[in-house]
Amino acid sequence: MQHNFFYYKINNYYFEIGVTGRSVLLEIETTRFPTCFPIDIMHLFYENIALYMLKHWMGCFFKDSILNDQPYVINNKQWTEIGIEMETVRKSIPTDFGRPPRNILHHHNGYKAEEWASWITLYSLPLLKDRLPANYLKGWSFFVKAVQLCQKRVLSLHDQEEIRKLLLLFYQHYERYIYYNIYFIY
Amino acid sequence: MKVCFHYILHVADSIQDTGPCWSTWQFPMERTCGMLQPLAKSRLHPYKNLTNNVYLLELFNNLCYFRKFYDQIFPPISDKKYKEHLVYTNENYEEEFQWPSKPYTLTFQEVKKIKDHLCVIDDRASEMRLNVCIILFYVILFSILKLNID
Repeated sequence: MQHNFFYYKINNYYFEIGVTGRSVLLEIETTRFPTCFPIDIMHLFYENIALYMLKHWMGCFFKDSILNDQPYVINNKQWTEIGIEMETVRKSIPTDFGRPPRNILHHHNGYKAEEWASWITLYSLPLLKDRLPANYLKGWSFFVKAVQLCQKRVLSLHDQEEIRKLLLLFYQHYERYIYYNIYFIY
Repeated sequence: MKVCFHYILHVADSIQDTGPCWSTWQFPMERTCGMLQPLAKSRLHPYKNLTNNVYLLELFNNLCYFRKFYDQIFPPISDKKYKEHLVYTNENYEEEFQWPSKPYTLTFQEVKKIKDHLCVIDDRASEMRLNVCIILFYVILFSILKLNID
């Protein structure tokens, strides 16, 4: 009786969190979970984190406008300036650097992963300098450095540890000053 | 907090497990999807259509191993020959620079300015007989020189 009750609870729990069964991928013998399911930095770094950080800086990340009122929000006038700077620099960017930058204020919804990559590694830091408070720029710079290392063709053991360290620093910064900063307002 | 911010803590581990990020990122897969998309033209049987098109494409890709047929279907394109004074190119570049060869009539003042300038840099140039009709090459030379003067 006890036994049945236990299984009932477990099944109910699975149902609640949306687990419907074993993944068919786990039937492949050479597959180990989670080591065989590496993280795809194209989607994670370029298309998710870069976009969310941009939303934070634009003040439209949270649905609640009170939560969006943060010290790291850059006002519209400055975003327009950044956009214009990106447009004007187009002609002087060497083709080796990839696509010429597009105005991030107008086109960030249509940005391709490659454009996000160059936004992170090339354009974000110089454009945000003096517009973002220094400690937020510092926090973002950890991420920029980590992404630059991740883009390397060959990684040394030292690089790998550096990536771990930098991403942890960025995460702590995000947790403390960007996301949970909301609790310090009240 | 968004779950993707949690994922960044696992990036270093996944590098340790499966190698540098480029070896597992989705760029090649997205590219493949981009190539496959226009191949599915049929709306009634998109998958059948896609399979057939991919198969056909692969046949063409393998055709180069059958020289006899390949040369008939894709006749070799002969390399273009240029006169030496008409083109400038570098081994490392695909691009070619063509000299402009359109006849251009210089105005009297332009001829005078060229002469004046050449006089300054080279005494012998003053003896040069410049015809009123000179090819555009001189105009380019002139503009380069003018830049130098400015």
